[in-house]
Amino acid sequence: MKPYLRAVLAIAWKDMGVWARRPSTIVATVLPAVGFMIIILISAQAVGRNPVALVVLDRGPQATRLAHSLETSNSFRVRTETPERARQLLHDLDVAAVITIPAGFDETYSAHRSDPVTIEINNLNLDFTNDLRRSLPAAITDFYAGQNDSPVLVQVHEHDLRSQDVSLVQFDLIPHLALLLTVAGVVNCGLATAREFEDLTIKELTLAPIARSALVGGKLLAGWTTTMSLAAIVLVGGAAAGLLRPAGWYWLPALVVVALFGLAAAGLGALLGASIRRFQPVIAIGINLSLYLFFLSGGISVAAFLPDWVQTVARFTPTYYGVHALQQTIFYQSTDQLGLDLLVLGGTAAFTVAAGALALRRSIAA
Amino acid sequence: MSEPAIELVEMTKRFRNFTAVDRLSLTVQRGEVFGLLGPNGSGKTTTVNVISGLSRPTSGTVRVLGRDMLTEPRSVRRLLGTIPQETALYEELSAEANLRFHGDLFDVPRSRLSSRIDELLRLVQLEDRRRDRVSTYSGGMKRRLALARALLHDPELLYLDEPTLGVDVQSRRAIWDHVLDLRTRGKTVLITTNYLEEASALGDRLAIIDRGRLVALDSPQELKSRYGDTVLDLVLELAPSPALLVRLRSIDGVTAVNTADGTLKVNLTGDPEATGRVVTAVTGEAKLLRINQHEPDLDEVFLQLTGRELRD
Repeated sequence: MKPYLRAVLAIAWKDMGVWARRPSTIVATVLPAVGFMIIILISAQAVGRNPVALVVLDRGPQATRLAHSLETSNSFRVRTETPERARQLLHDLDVAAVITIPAGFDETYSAHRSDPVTIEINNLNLDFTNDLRRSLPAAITDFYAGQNDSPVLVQVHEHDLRSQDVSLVQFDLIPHLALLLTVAGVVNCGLATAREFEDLTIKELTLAPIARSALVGGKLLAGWTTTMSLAAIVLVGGAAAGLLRPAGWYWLPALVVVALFGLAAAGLGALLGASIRRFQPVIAIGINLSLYLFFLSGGISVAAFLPDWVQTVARFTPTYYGVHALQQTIFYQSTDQLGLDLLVLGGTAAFTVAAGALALRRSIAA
Repeated sequence: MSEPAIELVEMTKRFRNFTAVDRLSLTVQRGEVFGLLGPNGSGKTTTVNVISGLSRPTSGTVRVLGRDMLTEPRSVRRLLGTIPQETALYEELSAEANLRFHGDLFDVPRSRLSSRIDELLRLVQLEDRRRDRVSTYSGGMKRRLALARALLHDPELLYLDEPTLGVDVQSRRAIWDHVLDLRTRGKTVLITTNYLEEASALGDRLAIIDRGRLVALDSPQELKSRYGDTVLDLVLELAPSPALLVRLRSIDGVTAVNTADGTLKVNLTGDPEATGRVVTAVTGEAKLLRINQHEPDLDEVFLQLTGRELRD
């Protein structure tokens, strides 16, 4: 093996060995993405389908059908209760509302009189309340639309822009993967670089008969590889769970985007590590920077639906393009703007790698 | 005749307005143990950084093992082994992993690397701890491992920066033995140390630099005899008279006369006949009970050449 390549691989292997023996660093790298993902999972449960108590006081077929319609609705998580128990649950904040199908429902239905279905709402905040205000009439409309003798003959024809539906959790996995890639690249490569200066081991490297570019190459390779190993766990796990499964050749652009993401983040890490040369500030700055990039790339909401000024800022954020490219390729089998996304990511990776290499060379020379 | 191991000619290193090394010229011959001494801020670290290629001189020439450090730094580094003061080991890794990494950086042939690692771990007596993390090692063990690492690629020139700083007596002796062994194997060793006893014990020649300039260069013995005083302790039956003190001070070769705790202390230069003249003068006027002669002390030489004020 050529001495140059041997040195690059040795530095990369050494950095990976140090990384693997510092579990606290790995935890610091993974924690932000995992933490936010847990919040999303819990929030999706809490706000996606509100828990309601259903009180059915009529045993007739129409009341039973309406109850079934509510139970199978995507809008609620329904538990059938007695009136007293339901009221207690509402009082204790165990349910967001109590829906009551009154005695005599079938009779009023047959007589085509207005339905006295009631809802008691725990109007804790407007988000919950509006959800419930929208969901109950929608469920009742569905109920009527399903009746043979229904006077409601409105049919909604839905035309989907995308070929498949994507759940909220699934959709949010992408910005979280982007967050993981950014934090891992910045923190891993940043720490590996800063630690050489803080622990003074940089002398071992600068006194070795190796080219400076071999040193830079080894550092970036290690940062990129450790980042990719974390990404691989998420991608394999996501694919196995059916959450992240691009069809056919769309795997390829998805993997290229992930690889460019990792490279750009590793370059940024090298830049931070060589400039700051102390590992605690590198962790703090690296994680905070990654979080800003995460929010601007649609971490908590679809970037395109954010306020105009945020969207303008987001368009100058490389992670915005990375998240878009991943969502298109993984979920929608689409190459919509893929060229632009890859160009921005590739350009960013080239810039951060060059800047990181330059900063490292300058720090060594100093 | 082979070229010197290190040759500095009028080497100057400036940092903006501060001159760290000022026209320093010195030569280290191959196969010698050379000590570079100086107080803090004297310029010795800058000098060593220039020799090892970590820093470029502002002017002058630097040749190491016959190569110009400015034009061939990488080929010089291949022949140079270093133990920095900070040890600079990867503490999360084992001794073996540290050595293997060093071997890869210095392109030690893979076919020889494992046996070389075994040999050096045996030499520094760390064989049984080879797979333990370096963070679990004592200070002395780390210094020994740093020595093994510096020797792994079989360098021609070894630079040791404070090689025994913070280690116990056993480790210090072991490191000294290794250094002396290197000399017998024809290696050149450059040492910087604040332990003058160490410099005296190991160094064939010592250079003392101060404020970036060379103030003395010779063997430890020569430095002591040239710059240090031999001290005679004379115990008399009665206290010496003022007249005897005056007479002693007038003798050629006597630099100082003092009394302390009933003992007469006479400082002598290197003049070998001065001792006889002092003893004759004393026994002519008083009864001499006991006489003791102290050889010059390198600490005294150092202080005499570099002054006693504290440095930062």
